[in-house]
Amino acid sequence: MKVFRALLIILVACTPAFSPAADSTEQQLSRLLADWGDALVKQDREFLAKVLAAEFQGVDELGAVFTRDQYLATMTSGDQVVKSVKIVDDSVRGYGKYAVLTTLYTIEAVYKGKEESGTYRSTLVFAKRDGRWQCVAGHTSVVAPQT
Amino acid sequence: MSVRTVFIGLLLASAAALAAPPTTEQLLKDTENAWSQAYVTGDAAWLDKLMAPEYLFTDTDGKTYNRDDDISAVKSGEWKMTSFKMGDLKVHVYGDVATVTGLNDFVATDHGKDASCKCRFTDVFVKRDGRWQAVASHVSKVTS
Repeated sequence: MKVFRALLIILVACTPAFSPAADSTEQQLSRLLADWGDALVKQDREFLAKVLAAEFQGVDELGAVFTRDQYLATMTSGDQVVKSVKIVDDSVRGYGKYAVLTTLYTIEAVYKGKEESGTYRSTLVFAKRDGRWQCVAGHTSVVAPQT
Repeated sequence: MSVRTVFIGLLLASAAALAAPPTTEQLLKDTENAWSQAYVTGDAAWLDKLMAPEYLFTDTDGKTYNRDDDISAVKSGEWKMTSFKMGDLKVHVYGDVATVTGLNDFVATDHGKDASCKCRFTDVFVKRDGRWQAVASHVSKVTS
Protein backbone atom coordinates (compact mmCIF):
# COMPACT_ATOMS: atom_id res chain seq x y z
CA MET A 1 0.00 0.00 0.00
CA LYS A 2 2.79 2.35 0.92
CA VAL A 3 4.60 1.51 -2.30
CA PHE A 4 1.41 2.21 -4.25
CA ARG A 5 1.05 5.58 -2.53
CA ALA A 6 4.67 6.47 -3.22
CA LEU A 7 4.18 5.58 -6.87
CA LEU A 8 1.11 7.82 -7.04
CA ILE A 9 3.05 10.72 -5.53
CA ILE A 10 5.85 10.26 -8.05
CA LEU A 11 3.33 10.11 -10.87
CA VAL A 12 1.62 13.29 -9.68
CA ALA A 13 4.98 15.03 -9.28
CA CYS A 14 6.05 14.03 -12.76
CA THR A 15 2.82 14.91 -14.53
CA PRO A 16 3.61 18.61 -15.12
CA ALA A 17 6.87 17.66 -16.77
CA PHE A 18 5.12 15.44 -19.30
CA SER A 19 1.87 17.31 -19.85
CA PRO A 20 1.84 19.53 -22.90
CA ALA A 21 3.01 22.89 -21.64
CA ALA A 22 1.71 26.14 -23.07
CA ASP A 23 3.48 27.07 -26.29
CA SER A 24 6.78 28.77 -25.72
CA THR A 25 7.63 32.08 -27.39
CA GLU A 26 9.91 30.10 -29.71
CA GLN A 27 7.09 27.76 -30.75
CA GLN A 28 4.59 30.58 -31.18
CA LEU A 29 6.91 32.60 -33.37
CA SER A 30 8.14 29.63 -35.42
CA ARG A 31 4.50 28.83 -36.21
CA LEU A 32 3.73 32.48 -36.94
CA LEU A 33 6.63 32.57 -39.36
CA ALA A 34 5.32 29.51 -41.22
CA ASP A 35 1.84 31.09 -41.36
CA TRP A 36 3.39 34.34 -42.63
CA GLY A 37 4.96 32.39 -45.49
CA ASP A 38 1.61 30.77 -46.33
CA ALA A 39 -0.06 34.21 -46.25
CA LEU A 40 2.44 35.51 -48.81
CA VAL A 41 1.62 32.62 -51.17
CA LYS A 42 -2.12 33.21 -50.70
CA GLN A 43 -1.74 37.01 -50.80
CA ASP A 44 -3.73 37.02 -47.56
CA ARG A 45 -3.89 40.73 -46.85
CA GLU A 46 -5.93 40.27 -43.69
CA PHE A 47 -3.29 38.04 -42.08
CA LEU A 48 -0.42 40.28 -43.16
CA ALA A 49 -2.21 43.37 -41.86
CA LYS A 50 -2.63 41.68 -38.48
CA VAL A 51 0.96 40.47 -38.18
CA LEU A 52 2.50 43.87 -38.93
CA ALA A 53 2.19 46.57 -36.28
CA ALA A 54 0.96 49.99 -37.37
CA GLU A 55 4.41 51.47 -36.76
CA PHE A 56 6.23 48.66 -38.59
CA GLN A 57 9.36 49.74 -40.41
CA GLY A 58 11.22 47.42 -42.74
CA VAL A 59 14.58 47.66 -44.47
CA ASP A 60 15.17 45.64 -47.62
CA GLU A 61 18.33 44.15 -49.09
CA LEU A 62 19.05 47.39 -50.98
CA GLY A 63 18.87 49.47 -47.83
CA ALA A 64 15.49 50.97 -48.72
CA VAL A 65 13.05 51.67 -45.89
CA PHE A 66 9.40 50.66 -46.22
CA THR A 67 6.28 50.98 -44.10
CA ARG A 68 3.50 48.53 -43.29
CA ASP A 69 1.24 50.03 -45.98
CA GLN A 70 3.97 49.80 -48.60
CA TYR A 71 4.63 46.17 -47.68
CA LEU A 72 0.94 45.28 -47.85
CA ALA A 73 0.54 47.04 -51.21
CA THR A 74 3.56 45.25 -52.71
CA MET A 75 2.64 41.82 -51.41
CA THR A 76 -1.04 41.89 -52.29
CA SER A 77 -1.24 43.97 -55.48
CA GLY A 78 -0.59 40.98 -57.73
CA ASP A 79 2.75 42.39 -58.91
CA GLN A 80 4.53 40.06 -56.51
CA VAL A 81 3.66 36.39 -56.98
CA VAL A 82 5.08 34.14 -54.28
CA LYS A 83 4.95 30.47 -55.20
CA SER A 84 6.54 29.06 -52.07
CA VAL A 85 8.30 30.03 -48.86
CA LYS A 86 10.43 27.49 -47.05
CA ILE A 87 11.83 28.27 -43.63
CA VAL A 88 15.32 26.77 -43.46
CA ASP A 89 16.23 27.93 -39.98
CA ASP A 90 15.05 30.29 -37.29
CA SER A 91 16.44 31.47 -34.00
CA VAL A 92 14.17 33.15 -31.47
CA ARG A 93 15.34 35.15 -28.48
CA GLY A 94 12.50 36.07 -26.14
CA TYR A 95 12.50 39.13 -23.89
CA GLY A 96 9.17 38.95 -22.10
CA LYS A 97 6.61 40.72 -24.26
CA TYR A 98 9.22 41.18 -26.98
CA ALA A 99 11.25 38.84 -29.13
CA VAL A 100 13.90 38.94 -31.80
CA LEU A 101 13.80 36.33 -34.54
CA THR A 102 16.54 35.73 -37.08
CA THR A 103 15.48 33.46 -39.90
CA LEU A 104 16.91 31.95 -43.05
CA TYR A 105 14.40 31.06 -45.77
CA THR A 106 14.04 30.40 -49.47
CA ILE A 107 11.41 32.02 -51.64
CA GLU A 108 10.21 31.14 -55.11
CA ALA A 109 8.76 34.39 -56.41
CA VAL A 110 8.24 36.58 -59.45
CA TYR A 111 7.95 40.39 -59.26
CA LYS A 112 6.35 42.05 -62.28
CA GLY A 113 7.36 39.06 -64.37
CA LYS A 114 10.96 39.12 -63.14
CA GLU A 115 12.37 36.14 -61.27
CA GLU A 116 13.05 37.04 -57.64
CA SER A 117 13.62 33.62 -56.15
CA GLY A 118 16.45 33.24 -53.70
CA THR A 119 17.64 32.67 -50.18
CA TYR A 120 17.07 35.45 -47.69
CA ARG A 121 17.88 36.17 -44.07
CA SER A 122 15.72 38.45 -41.96
CA THR A 123 15.95 39.89 -38.48
CA LEU A 124 12.46 40.52 -37.12
CA VAL A 125 11.44 42.24 -33.89
CA PHE A 126 8.09 41.25 -32.38
CA ALA A 127 5.93 42.76 -29.66
CA LYS A 128 3.14 40.83 -27.94
CA ARG A 129 0.03 42.97 -27.87
CA ASP A 130 -3.46 41.89 -26.83
CA GLY A 131 -2.22 38.31 -26.65
CA ARG A 132 -0.75 38.13 -30.15
CA TRP A 133 2.63 38.77 -31.68
CA GLN A 134 3.07 41.69 -34.02
CA CYS A 135 6.16 42.54 -36.01
CA VAL A 136 7.41 46.07 -35.29
CA ALA A 137 10.64 46.04 -37.30
CA GLY A 138 12.33 43.92 -39.92
CA HIS A 139 15.53 43.90 -41.93
CA THR A 140 16.29 41.55 -44.82
CA SER A 141 19.36 40.52 -46.80
CA VAL A 142 19.78 38.33 -49.84
CA VAL A 143 22.10 35.51 -48.87
CA ALA A 144 25.04 35.55 -51.23
CA PRO A 145 26.06 32.19 -52.69
CA GLN A 146 29.03 30.62 -50.89
CA THR A 147 32.29 31.12 -52.81
CA MET B 1 12.45 92.16 -6.11
CA SER B 2 10.22 90.37 -8.59
CA VAL B 3 12.87 90.71 -11.32
CA ARG B 4 15.40 89.13 -8.96
CA THR B 5 13.02 86.26 -8.19
CA VAL B 6 12.44 85.64 -11.89
CA PHE B 7 16.19 85.75 -12.51
CA ILE B 8 16.87 83.21 -9.75
CA GLY B 9 14.04 81.06 -11.12
CA LEU B 10 15.56 81.13 -14.59
CA LEU B 11 18.97 80.19 -13.19
CA LEU B 12 17.49 77.24 -11.30
CA ALA B 13 15.54 76.09 -14.36
CA SER B 14 18.69 76.24 -16.49
CA ALA B 15 20.66 74.27 -13.92
CA ALA B 16 17.92 71.62 -13.82
CA ALA B 17 17.95 71.38 -17.61
CA LEU B 18 21.72 71.00 -17.61
CA ALA B 19 21.57 68.27 -14.98
CA ALA B 20 18.73 66.33 -16.65
CA PRO B 21 19.80 62.86 -17.77
CA PRO B 22 19.65 62.21 -21.52
CA THR B 23 16.49 60.64 -22.87
CA THR B 24 16.63 56.99 -23.93
CA GLU B 25 16.51 58.18 -27.54
CA GLN B 26 19.53 60.41 -27.08
CA LEU B 27 21.35 57.77 -25.05
CA LEU B 28 20.92 55.21 -27.84
CA LYS B 29 21.95 57.71 -30.52
CA ASP B 30 25.08 58.43 -28.49
CA THR B 31 25.64 54.69 -28.12
CA GLU B 32 25.53 54.27 -31.91
CA ASN B 33 28.24 56.89 -32.36
CA ALA B 34 30.32 55.43 -29.52
CA TRP B 35 29.91 51.95 -31.09
CA SER B 36 31.46 53.03 -34.38
CA GLN B 37 34.09 55.01 -32.50
CA ALA B 38 35.01 51.79 -30.67
CA TYR B 39 35.61 50.15 -34.07
CA VAL B 40 37.84 53.08 -35.05
CA THR B 41 39.91 52.90 -31.86
CA GLY B 42 39.76 49.09 -31.67
CA ASP B 43 38.22 49.28 -28.21
CA ALA B 44 37.31 45.62 -27.74
CA ALA B 45 36.58 46.13 -24.02
CA TRP B 46 33.85 48.65 -24.85
CA LEU B 47 32.34 46.27 -27.41
CA ASP B 48 32.50 43.47 -24.85
CA LYS B 49 30.26 45.51 -22.53
CA LEU B 50 27.89 46.59 -25.27
CA MET B 51 27.19 43.22 -26.86
CA ALA B 52 24.94 40.77 -25.05
CA PRO B 53 26.13 37.14 -24.98
CA GLU B 54 23.45 36.21 -27.54
CA TYR B 55 24.35 39.09 -29.90
CA LEU B 56 23.95 38.15 -33.58
CA PHE B 57 25.13 40.27 -36.49
CA THR B 58 23.85 39.76 -40.06
CA ASP B 59 25.98 41.33 -42.78
CA THR B 60 25.11 42.66 -46.23
CA ASP B 61 25.43 39.14 -47.69
CA GLY B 62 23.14 37.58 -45.12
CA LYS B 63 26.02 35.93 -43.28
CA THR B 64 25.77 35.82 -39.49
CA TYR B 65 28.43 36.43 -36.85
CA ASN B 66 28.21 36.07 -33.09
CA ARG B 67 29.63 38.33 -30.42
CA ASP B 68 32.96 36.49 -30.21
CA ASP B 69 33.42 36.64 -34.00
CA ASP B 70 32.91 40.40 -33.95
CA ILE B 71 35.11 41.17 -30.97
CA SER B 72 37.95 38.88 -32.03
CA ALA B 73 37.99 40.49 -35.51
CA VAL B 74 38.48 43.87 -33.82
CA LYS B 75 41.14 42.55 -31.42
CA SER B 76 43.14 40.90 -34.20
CA GLY B 77 42.86 43.93 -36.47
CA GLU B 78 41.15 41.86 -39.20
CA TRP B 79 38.34 44.39 -39.07
CA LYS B 80 39.41 48.01 -38.91
CA MET B 81 37.23 51.07 -39.34
CA THR B 82 39.06 54.32 -40.04
CA SER B 83 36.17 56.78 -40.27
CA PHE B 84 32.40 56.87 -40.14
CA LYS B 85 29.52 59.24 -40.64
CA MET B 86 26.26 58.44 -38.93
CA GLY B 87 22.93 59.82 -40.13
CA ASP B 88 19.15 59.40 -40.28
CA LEU B 89 19.04 57.85 -36.80
CA LYS B 90 15.58 56.75 -35.69
CA VAL B 91 14.95 55.23 -32.27
CA HIS B 92 11.88 53.24 -31.24
CA VAL B 93 11.63 52.33 -27.57
CA TYR B 94 9.36 49.49 -26.37
CA GLY B 95 9.92 49.37 -22.63
CA ASP B 96 13.19 47.51 -22.11
CA VAL B 97 13.61 46.77 -25.82
CA ALA B 98 14.58 49.34 -28.44
CA THR B 99 15.46 49.48 -32.10
CA VAL B 100 17.69 51.99 -33.80
CA THR B 101 17.85 52.35 -37.56
CA GLY B 102 20.15 54.63 -39.45
CA LEU B 103 22.76 55.14 -42.10
CA ASN B 104 26.44 54.62 -41.48
CA ASP B 105 28.80 55.71 -44.23
CA PHE B 106 32.10 54.22 -43.15
CA VAL B 107 35.58 53.50 -44.41
CA ALA B 108 36.92 50.14 -43.27
CA THR B 109 39.04 47.13 -44.14
CA ASP B 110 38.30 43.46 -43.58
CA HIS B 111 41.38 41.20 -43.75
CA GLY B 112 43.14 44.08 -45.47
CA LYS B 113 40.53 44.42 -48.21
CA ASP B 114 38.35 47.46 -48.61
CA ALA B 115 35.07 46.92 -46.77
CA SER B 116 33.82 50.51 -46.91
CA CYS B 117 30.08 50.82 -47.10
CA LYS B 118 27.20 53.21 -47.05
CA CYS B 119 25.07 50.90 -44.97
CA ARG B 120 21.54 51.06 -43.63
CA PHE B 121 21.44 49.28 -40.28
CA THR B 122 18.92 48.03 -37.76
CA ASP B 123 20.22 47.48 -34.23
CA VAL B 124 18.17 45.91 -31.45
CA PHE B 125 18.92 46.69 -27.82
CA VAL B 126 17.69 45.20 -24.54
CA LYS B 127 17.99 46.97 -21.19
CA ARG B 128 19.64 44.78 -18.55
CA ASP B 129 20.86 45.79 -15.11
CA GLY B 130 20.17 49.41 -15.97
CA ARG B 131 22.15 49.53 -19.21
CA TRP B 132 21.37 48.92 -22.87
CA GLN B 133 22.98 45.94 -24.52
CA ALA B 134 22.93 45.11 -28.23
CA VAL B 135 21.31 41.76 -29.05
CA ALA B 136 21.07 41.94 -32.85
CA SER B 137 22.28 43.96 -35.82
CA HIS B 138 21.47 43.70 -39.49
CA VAL B 139 22.99 45.78 -42.31
CA SER B 140 22.29 46.37 -46.01
CA LYS B 141 24.43 48.19 -48.53
CA VAL B 142 22.54 51.22 -49.81
CA THR B 143 22.61 51.07 -53.57
CA SER B 144 20.59 54.11 -54.59
